[in-house]
Amino acid sequence: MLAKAAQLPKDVAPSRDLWPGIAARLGEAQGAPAKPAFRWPLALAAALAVASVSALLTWSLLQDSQPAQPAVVADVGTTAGEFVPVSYGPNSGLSAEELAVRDDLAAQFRGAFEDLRPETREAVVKNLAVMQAAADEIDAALAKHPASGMLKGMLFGTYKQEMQLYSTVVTARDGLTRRT
Amino acid sequence: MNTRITWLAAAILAVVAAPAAAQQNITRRATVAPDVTIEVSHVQGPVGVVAWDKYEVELVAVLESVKDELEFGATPRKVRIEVERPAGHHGRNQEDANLVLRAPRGARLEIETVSADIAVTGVHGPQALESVSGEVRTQAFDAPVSAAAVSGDVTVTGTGGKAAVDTSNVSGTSTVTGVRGEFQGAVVSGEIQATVAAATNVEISTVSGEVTLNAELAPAGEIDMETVNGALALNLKPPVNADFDLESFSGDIEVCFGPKSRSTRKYTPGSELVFTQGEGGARVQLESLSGEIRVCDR
Repeated sequence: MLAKAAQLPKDVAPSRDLWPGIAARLGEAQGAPAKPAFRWPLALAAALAVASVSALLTWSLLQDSQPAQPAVVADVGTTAGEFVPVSYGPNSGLSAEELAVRDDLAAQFRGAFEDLRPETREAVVKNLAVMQAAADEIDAALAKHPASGMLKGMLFGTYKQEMQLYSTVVTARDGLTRRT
Repeated sequence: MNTRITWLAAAILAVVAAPAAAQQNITRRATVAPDVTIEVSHVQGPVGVVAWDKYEVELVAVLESVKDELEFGATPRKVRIEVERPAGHHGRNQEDANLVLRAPRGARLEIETVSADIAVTGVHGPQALESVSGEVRTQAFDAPVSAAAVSGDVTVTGTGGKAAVDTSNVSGTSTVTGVRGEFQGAVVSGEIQATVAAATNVEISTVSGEVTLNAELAPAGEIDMETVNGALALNLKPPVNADFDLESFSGDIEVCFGPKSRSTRKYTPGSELVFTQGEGGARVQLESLSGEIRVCDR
């Protein structure tokens, strides 16, 4: 193949003289008025349109995506843990009515809990655990000293603290969620 | 060239202005009574109230979200301010709504927020301030002050007036200073640090938090402190004339000025210490389940 290629002629004359035509075209181009290499107004207008649409789209997406951000919702379970009301032992002396009132308030609180900031949910869960430990400790002491007014007072104090916690969150939220 | 720069500037402005256009800047004013009641309900963003010497309420609000709506209703006796956020957006929207209020000095404040700090300066009327995860900071004069938070701190700075102060906190710290007469404090795992002059009625309860109370007892004053497993420290300004009843189910009791008591009883596993210091008259009762009790005259 290489030997055959070497036998090919070095120069091949064109069938006709092409230069006059080329020279004529060159002269025509040099005589024509200069056209702008880049049309700035059009480019700027296009850039403006793209930037505006992009900004609007970004803003719109940010607005619409807020309620359904899965990462934030996922935080409820991963960082804050579950909301568990305090369980009072058999020696607590709390009446069925008092516990029913607590349960009712806790049910309202459960709805508000999901909307709290992750750090606040974490604080709530942690402090309910603190109250649970206190209630267990008091209940164990009451088992040995059932007539102790001090212990009964402390247990009722813990109950009131739990109610206060729910109440603070529920009342704050109830006044604020009116639009649907 | 100038045309190009103009176009370019316009393009940049268009891009930059897009987010700014989403912000709402609102100002509202109303002429009101000197003791007008001001109610504020708010989700997210700081609320500041500053007293001034006018019988007017002025609200300057900056709402970062276009979805928030500001309600401002005013009569001479009552002003109602509410930033409404669509249901489901609570706690998940990062956009604040900042409220700055100017109010008459005698205004009565009722402020409820979720994730918003509350700061009040110079208001002499009664105050009821509540924030779930924000910080509450105010001054107390002669009218009652109630401040509550779940995870935020509460700070009440008294001015030596006779305001009855009530703080409630879950995991934050309540700091109360310059108060005279009455104070009630409750905390779960947080701390209470309070200084009360001429204490007539002080009630403090905690589950596991620590309490430090510096108090000067009024002649017939009463101090009640209770904890489950936290620590109670009471520092009394001498001379101390009071009847003490200190009881702990399983914790320690320490009285640094000594139990110069008319009776001292100890039970197993805990202890109870009943005595009179000085001429008596005031009453001090501290109780704990397993927490430490410490009383000193400083």
